[in-house]
Amino acid sequence: MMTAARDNPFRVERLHRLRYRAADHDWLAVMRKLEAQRYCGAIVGPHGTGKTTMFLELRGRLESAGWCVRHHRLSMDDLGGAVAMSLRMMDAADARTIVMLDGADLLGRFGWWRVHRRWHHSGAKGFVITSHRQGLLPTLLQTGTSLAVTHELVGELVGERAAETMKAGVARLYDEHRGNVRDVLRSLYDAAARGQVRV
Amino acid sequence: MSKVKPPLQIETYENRVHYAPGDALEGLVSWRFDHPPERLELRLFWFTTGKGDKDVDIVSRMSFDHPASVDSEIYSLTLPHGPYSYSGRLTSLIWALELISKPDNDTVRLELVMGPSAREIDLYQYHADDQLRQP
Repeated sequence: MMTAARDNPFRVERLHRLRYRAADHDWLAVMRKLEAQRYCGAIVGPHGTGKTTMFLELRGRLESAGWCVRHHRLSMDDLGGAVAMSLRMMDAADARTIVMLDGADLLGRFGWWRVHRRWHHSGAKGFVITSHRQGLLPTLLQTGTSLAVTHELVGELVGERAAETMKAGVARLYDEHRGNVRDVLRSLYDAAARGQVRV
Repeated sequence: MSKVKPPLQIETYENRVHYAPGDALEGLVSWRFDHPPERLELRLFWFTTGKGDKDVDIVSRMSFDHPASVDSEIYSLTLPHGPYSYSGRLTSLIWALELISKPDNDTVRLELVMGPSAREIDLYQYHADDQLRQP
């Protein structure tokens, strides 16, 4: 029997609640490194490896630590306004502000140059981005995935018992999507919608 | 063993959760805190859930300023004429009431159904693979 969207264990708001996890991840070390880099850094990694998840968690930690965080998530649908929005955030920033851009490499070469230059002239204390490639800012963290982590995430979404029965299928999807966990979870959404996932 | 009452509660008249477009939505909100919150807000909104990013629209708000630490208030809202609650594979649209206390952002939510004949639209009501389901 197919699963309605509201009951699908892989629906988007459940995915958004997943925490970033990696075998060698240590938040204390990340925060120390960010401070050592004068609050300037890039979360770098391939598609679907948790950059945005990491970005959101970092934002929450910085806000809890008392920073004013101005953030924007860039998307392919709105590139025209992305540079303008980024420049406005820089202009509005002060010494207690860290500006965060998710998807900074979407700005393009000239757009990035303008934003980066504006940051240097702004009052912002820090600048943190996500990017698929290195080189825009000093790397703060490199994201990556593993099949083990993917199984963990599926277990959190559907329960350990159901996840155990799905292991072979999840492994196949992980290979098909070449480690892009976001696409694995989207495929699992479709499978659940068709009634192929029992939870 | 006595049940612990949650700090925030939303009740509807006659415990209804199914409504037709344009219906009156009435009931009682109540709260119980150790210290009075700054204010409380009751929101009527719809949101989508499913595969894509969430869409949400708050259609009504009621504010309760400088409330006592323990109290209850009657609310009365009118539901709009759309959009209808629907259930599909890719997305579902859900109506809800939400009571939020400030500044702590404690929240309670009550999901509702709003649609023709007080029923949600089931996009797969007549899907062949699931056999014909009675409306």
